[in-house]
Amino acid sequence: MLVGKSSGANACLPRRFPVGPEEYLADLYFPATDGVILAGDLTHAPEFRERYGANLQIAACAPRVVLAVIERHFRETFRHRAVSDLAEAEPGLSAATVITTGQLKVFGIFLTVILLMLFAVPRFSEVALTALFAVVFTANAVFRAVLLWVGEAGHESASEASAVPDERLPIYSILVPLYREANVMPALVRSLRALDYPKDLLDIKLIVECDDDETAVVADAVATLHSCFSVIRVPPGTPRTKPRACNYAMPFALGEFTVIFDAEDRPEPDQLRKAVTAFRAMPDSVACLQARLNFYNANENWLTRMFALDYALWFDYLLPGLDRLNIPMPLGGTSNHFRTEALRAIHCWDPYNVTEDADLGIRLARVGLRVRTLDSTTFEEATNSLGNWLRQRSRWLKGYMQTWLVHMRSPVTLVRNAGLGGFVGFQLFVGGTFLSALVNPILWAIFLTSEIFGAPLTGAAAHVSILGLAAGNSLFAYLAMLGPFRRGWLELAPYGLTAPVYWLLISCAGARALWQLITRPWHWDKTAHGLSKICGAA
Amino acid sequence: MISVIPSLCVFTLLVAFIGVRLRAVGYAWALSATLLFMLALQLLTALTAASLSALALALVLSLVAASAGSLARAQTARRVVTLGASLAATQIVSPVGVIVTAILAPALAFLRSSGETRFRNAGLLVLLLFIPVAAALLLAYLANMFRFDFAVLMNGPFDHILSARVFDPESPRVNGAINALALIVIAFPVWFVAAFHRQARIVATVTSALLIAVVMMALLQRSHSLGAFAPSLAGLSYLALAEAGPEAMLPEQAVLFAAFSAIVSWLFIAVPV
Repeated sequence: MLVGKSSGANACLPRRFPVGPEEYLADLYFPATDGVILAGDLTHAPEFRERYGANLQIAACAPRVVLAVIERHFRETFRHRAVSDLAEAEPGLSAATVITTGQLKVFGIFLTVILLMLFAVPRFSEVALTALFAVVFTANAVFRAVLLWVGEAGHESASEASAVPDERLPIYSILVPLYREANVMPALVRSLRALDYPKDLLDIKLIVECDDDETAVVADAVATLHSCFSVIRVPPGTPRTKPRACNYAMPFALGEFTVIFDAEDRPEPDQLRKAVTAFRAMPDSVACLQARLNFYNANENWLTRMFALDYALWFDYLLPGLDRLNIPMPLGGTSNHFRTEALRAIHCWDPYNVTEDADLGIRLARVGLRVRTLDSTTFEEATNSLGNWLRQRSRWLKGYMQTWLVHMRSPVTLVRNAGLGGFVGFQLFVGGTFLSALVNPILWAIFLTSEIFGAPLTGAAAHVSILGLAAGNSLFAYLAMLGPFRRGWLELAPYGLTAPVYWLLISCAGARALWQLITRPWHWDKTAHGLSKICGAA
Repeated sequence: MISVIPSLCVFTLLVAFIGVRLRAVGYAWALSATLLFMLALQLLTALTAASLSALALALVLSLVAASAGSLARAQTARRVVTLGASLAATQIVSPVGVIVTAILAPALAFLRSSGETRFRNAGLLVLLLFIPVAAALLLAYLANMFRFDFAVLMNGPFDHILSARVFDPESPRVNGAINALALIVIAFPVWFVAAFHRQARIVATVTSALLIAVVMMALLQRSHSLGAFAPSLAGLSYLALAEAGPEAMLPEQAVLFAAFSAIVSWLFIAVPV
């Protein structure tokens, strides 16, 4: 580790000091000038003197100052690692390659067989294909129904928020990636400062892209006012995604635990304490806790109501169901609490995956680590305009496609890693989510063309399509209505009857996602926040 | 023979279900066994063991009452699904199921209505009606497209022995009214237990809905024999005992109620006029 030669970015390091950032980060120090080091943690002082000589002078400074110096010095290294760490260590698990040659061949063979069948036995093929689409559409709904049933009895990591006394609380890192979100900063700061956690144990990283000066100015002002905040500027680079920004910030996380929040998030004040209590009560194999998400502007319009039903079902029932059945759980975008070391050990997030959270949940399961649900809610802002919603939803569906393609590169390995139940659950939950969005309009088209326009399809195909549509849409509608039950938001339940319309919108997003997967696989469609007229109470 | 086997299965399920409920609330083994024996006797006395639809209606109405009771105690998604599915099942096994559902769903949803919770109760009502409506649409689709009639499956070759007292074959309305009166008497244990124990009031609500449905069917000139509903009242009576719990009465009282119900049922149905 000691310097034998120095080159490149590390050329200015005094001799005998390490060339890589790891040791500086671990012990929180950095050489300032010859014979002087900046130290953020004076408990290591005797080790420093033993290592670098008794005459070493140690200048004590705030940890964030030392981290800022390390970040500035090793910027290129961190920038490279943020993008390439996973791709270099586990290329088979990185979405840097969208689709492998083997997968292309399989899809090619599948399409060829379908086309040949359509030419050779058209009547049979159209019924068989319609049945296949109907099964795909309905299977996802049926699996969700099973998860709802199981998830209601799911034993969540409900925990006493006050179970861990203040003196035994660890440092907690909070990552908040920001991009052009200066307008929501005041509310964000209010809700983070409202967290019931000792402020001197909070390590809040406001992660700002280098070209976003407007947000950076506000973030710097916040960091100046409140010592628990610090700002990390992410250098330019591609892909420009949220996971890349988080990966860049991750080496500077000081906490034993790390959580990620979005700019518009309003976590319940006792969430961090609950997470600490739950982590302490669970084995180390539980690497992540997923808090529930829902919206503070659920009642703003039809779209936000449907979105709230969607989220209530997802986070209050489906994820606890996956938890209970021990099926790999795709994480939701924010409020993922990690054991920091476990997160680093699996190379953090995949910067090429636009639902890096979902992918991370699957990767954790594949290495034998578990994700559990946490009985605490973070309230977010539901997108209240169709365009914004469509962009967000198509990004999610594209990310699910990426995640499915990545983990299906070697199905046998996936079965070995996640077990047969986990494998089937992954197909139904991750694969089923985007496939049902894609086949839904096809079923509608088959039904409408054969029933209304009298197109030359067999009656059997029309029957199969209407049964598939009726079964799938009824189940989706009913599940949407049941979603808000746990929160007692029953007044929203009747809106679930419009779920078939909502699912057609999801299908539009699915088609857009598929197109983007082909044309711009790593493009991050940013969701605009701060558009709601309703503010969440911090 | 083919019709008897499903009937026996439903009969066993009904007895087992009531047995589980009795045991679940703490009735002793001996008392539970005595009560179940009397339930079986009452069902057999009514000469309806061979009638699949009558027994099936008894089973699903017991399920409706039990799940409605559970939902009243604590509202959870599972309990809503169970109640909705039970209500849907009543429509499948008997035409009175539609009326029972139409009466029960709003009654259960708005049972504790107040101004503040009106929208929430409306939401609960929509949730409760969803599965029954979906089931009705499915049955209509199957009937229209494939000439499939579920009621045909429910009829068996022994239905003619479903006793059947039809009091006035010439007038379905009179017959329905007399049937309802007879059923009110047979259901005496339900009324008695519900009068003193709040927990059994949901069972009384379900029983009332059945009686109203019987009267309405009579008004619609669709009268049924008494034997078609007697097993349902037998099931509901024992369920009322289970809902009230063993602390609600002495064992002798419970046996007395059961015996009374069985004897009255037998008198109305089996003894020739």
